[in-house]
Order: sequence, then C-alpha cells, then structure tokens
Amino acid sequence: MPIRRRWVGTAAVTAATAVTVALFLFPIYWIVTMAFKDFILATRIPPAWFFVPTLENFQGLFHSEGFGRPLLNSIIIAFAATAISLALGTPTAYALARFRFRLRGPAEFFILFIRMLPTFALVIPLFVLLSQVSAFGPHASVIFAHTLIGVPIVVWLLRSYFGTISPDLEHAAMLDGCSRLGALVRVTLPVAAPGIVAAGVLAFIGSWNDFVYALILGGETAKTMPVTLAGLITQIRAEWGFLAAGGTLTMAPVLVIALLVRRYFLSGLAFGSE
Amino acid sequence: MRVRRPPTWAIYLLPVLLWSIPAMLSLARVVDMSLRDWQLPGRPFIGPQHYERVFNDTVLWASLRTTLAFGVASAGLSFLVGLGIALLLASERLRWRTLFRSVIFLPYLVSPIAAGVTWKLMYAPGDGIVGYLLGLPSVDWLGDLGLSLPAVVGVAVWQWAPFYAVILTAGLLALPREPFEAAQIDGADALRTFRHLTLPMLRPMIQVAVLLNVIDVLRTFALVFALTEGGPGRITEVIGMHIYLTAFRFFRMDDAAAQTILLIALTATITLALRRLGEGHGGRSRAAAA
Repeated sequence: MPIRRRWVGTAAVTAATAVTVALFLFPIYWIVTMAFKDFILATRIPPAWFFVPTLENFQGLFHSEGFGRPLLNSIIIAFAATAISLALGTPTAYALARFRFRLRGPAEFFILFIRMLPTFALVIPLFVLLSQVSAFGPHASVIFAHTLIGVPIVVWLLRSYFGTISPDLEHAAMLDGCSRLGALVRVTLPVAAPGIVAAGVLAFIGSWNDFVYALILGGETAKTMPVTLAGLITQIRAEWGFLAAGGTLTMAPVLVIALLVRRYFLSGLAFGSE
Repeated sequence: MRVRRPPTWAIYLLPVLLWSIPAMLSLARVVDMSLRDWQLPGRPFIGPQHYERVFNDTVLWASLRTTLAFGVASAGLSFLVGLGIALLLASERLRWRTLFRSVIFLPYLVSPIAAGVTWKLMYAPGDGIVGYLLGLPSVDWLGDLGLSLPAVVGVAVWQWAPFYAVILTAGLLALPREPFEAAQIDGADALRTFRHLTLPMLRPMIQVAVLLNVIDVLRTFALVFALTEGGPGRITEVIGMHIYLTAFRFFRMDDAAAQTILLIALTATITLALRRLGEGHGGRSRAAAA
C-alpha cells in the first residue's frame, strides 16, 4: 500500500511538472515551427501540427529584409561588450571581495545604482551627446552602453563568487614569490572559471537582448537584431513567416548558448541573487 | 621625498572608475537638460519648470498608475507561479528532474522584442493560436480596452515566472534538512511546514528576486513597444513608453529628462524600501512567529 501511494505521488508530481514546463515552452516551439512553415500554413487555423519544413522565410529575411548585416552587428557588439564588461568587472569584483577599505560600501552601492538606473536615464543624454560628437562610431556607442548592462552583472556575480574562494591559496602563491596580480591570474581566476563563464554569458545575453540603447544610439549603421525585428513588426503587411523567422533568429543564439553552458549559467543566476 | 604609493585596491578599481565617468557625466547632463528650455535658442536655464509641468501632467500620472497595475500584477503572479514551479522542480518525487530544470529558464532569456513578436502572433484575432486553443477566435486580446493590459501582464509572467522558478528551486534545494525532520516528528502538516518553515527560510532569496523583478518592471519598454506601443489608446502606456514618446516622438527632451529624474527617484525609493522591508523582517524567529 505505501509503495503504491508513493508511485501515485511520483506520477502526479511528474505529470504536473511536465504540463507546466510544456506550457511555458509552447510559445518558443510555436514561433520556431512557424518560421519553417510556408506563407499559407503560417496563418492557418486550425494549425498544421505536421508539415514539410521550408527555409523560404529565412531566405526572404536575408534577401529582401537585409537581416545579414544586423546579425553581424549583434554578434560584434555582444562579444565586444562582454569582453569589456569582464575586463572591467573582474578586477572590481576581486577588490570588493578581498580588500577592506572605506570606499567599499559606496563602491558597491554605485554598482547597484547603475544596475537600477532606468534605461532612458542614460540613453537620452548619450543620444544628445553623440549627435553632437560624431568621432565616436555608432558601434562603439552601443558597445559602451551595453557595458553599462554588463559590468554590474559581472561585478555582482563575481564578487560573491570570489567570496567563496579561500584567499589561502593566493597567500601560498604569494609566499612562493608570486605578485598579488600573478596569484590572482594563476590561482584564483582558474578556480573562478565557472563564475566567469556564467557572468560572461549573462553579460552577453544582456547585450544581445537590449533594444533601447541599440535603437537610439545604433542608428542605421549599428542596427542589431532586436531593432531590425521591431522594424519588421511596424510594417503593416509583414508576413507572419518572416516575423516568426526573425523572432527565431533573435532568440536562438541566446537559448542555444544558455543550454550549452546551463550548469554554470544556472548556478550563476542563483549566485547573482545572494 | 618618498611618493606615497596608492593602496592596492585602488589599482583594481581604477578601470571601472574611468569607465563610470561618461555615465556620471550623462547623468549630470540629464539633470542639466531638465532645468533648461530646449525649445528656445540658447537653451536658457529655467529652473524647475519642467518638474512643475510633469507633476501636472495627467497623462504621466495615468502612465504611473498603469505601471503600478502592471508591476503589481506581473510581479505578484510571476512570484506565485514561479514558486509553484519551484516546489514541483525541487520535489523529491519528481522524475527526469534534470531535464525539467534545464529547460524551464528559457522563456526568461528571450529578448523582450522577440517575446513581443511571438505573443503578438499568438494573440492575433482570427488566426492566433491563443484564441483557437481557448475557443475564442474573435477576441482581440491586445486591441481590447479591458483585455490588453492583462494580455501584456501574461507575457511578462511568461518571462519572469521561470526566473523565480530557477532562483527559488536553488533556494529550496539548499535548505537544511534538520528543521523539516523536526517538524515532521512534531506532526506538523505540509501546509504549516510550508508557511512557518519553508517560506521564512526562503525569504532572502525571494527578496532579491522581487527586487530584481521590480527594477525591471519600472523600466519596461521593449515588451510594450513590440506588443501594443502603449495602446489601445494609452491603456498600456507604462512609464518607460511615456518617456520614449515624450523624447523621441514629441521631441521634448527637456520634459523627458525631468520625467527620467523622477523615475530614478522612484526606483531608488522603491529599491531602498524593499531592502529596508527585508531587513526589518530579517530575524528568522520573528518571521517564523509572524
């Protein structure tokens, strides 16, 4: 009898979870499959659950809507913003985790403050500033703006990560003649690699998904995927297949990367919340 | 004479300090913009007149109310749904838990514009899948005065509930076992255990997750832009949308700057209040007794 009740409980919990997870994944499934439907099937109700996939929407997207350039822009901007955010944020996080100094509290608050700022607080003055000074290319402006998203994520996440790594290892390396920087690079950074991967992925996602900075600061030259996709929505006669293909291309890289490194990434999300 | 060496920590903070200078200059610039008239040549200093205008701006107050309704509904529902999912995902009874845990977070990572496009197609009257599945094919979810805000809230919950689920699953799995064993020995039922043990112990994680969610809610823009552009009428015009329209459709940069400063103040106040609230209930015994 107890064995049987246990079995029923397992089945109920698993079924409830499966239904819930399926519900949450359904929109992603729906948009991705729609991207591979031809223009008749895309809008057909009742929907075609089984169909012969076609690439015509993606071909149309690259040929007539010019999605190639935005894809390249998004890749360049997201990688650059991630690299700079890690380069700036890692030493900051290290200092906040290891040193005791009077400005530590204010420095932490400052990072939180940047995290908290409404996007428009910086986009409006940056827009005015950059329309006057054109020496800064639109790519560089968007990359800089995206470090405002990335650096706080990196600092917040890595500060708690460094906090869990004992400084004893570093001290041992320093006794053996390493400088503090040498000890950080050779001893602590390799141990912190999972945290750095998680922080990098989150910074990358923040940059890739951003809309406002890219819209206002990027202009036509540095148009990213979300901006191009948003432009497609406002076309009244936009085909559903095109919209679905654009949505798929915009979300796919982020979802694939996150799934590939999900172990680091999930612990990173949880870490960032401490 | 010896030159004093800067302290070690300063060297590590120098890069981020240099990086923050343009950000701080930009902020100073917003304050400056909000105190000048940009319509007049020479952009003369006019003091806090924009702030007076903003305070008397009924549309702004309406959009703040919309933001409040949207924020409370979406954050509250996301938390409840996310907590429910987390309880399922952390259950010892669950089979294939690795699979479920490693896909549930995906909606949270979809860019708001892509999420907006996806749901716009799903909500479409006539050909949309939502209407078809619910048997209400002619309902215009995003175009109806009464339904559009709930429809936008639905998309926000779709994105944020998975975030809560991930954070709270991690929190539940990290809880110590002893108090639960003790409660079981004392004969406490599941509901009492949940209310007096699980929830208070999860409190710090809930607090941070809510904080991050609320910060995000207050600057919601892209999702609304993609779904409704603030319409129908101005029903879904959240504060981010309002600032965007002021600055880039009506080109009143100075008014938008004043609105932005007020939004910063509002966000800071809410952030601090949430942190204070968390500290006030910080004691585990007090939370457990409540």
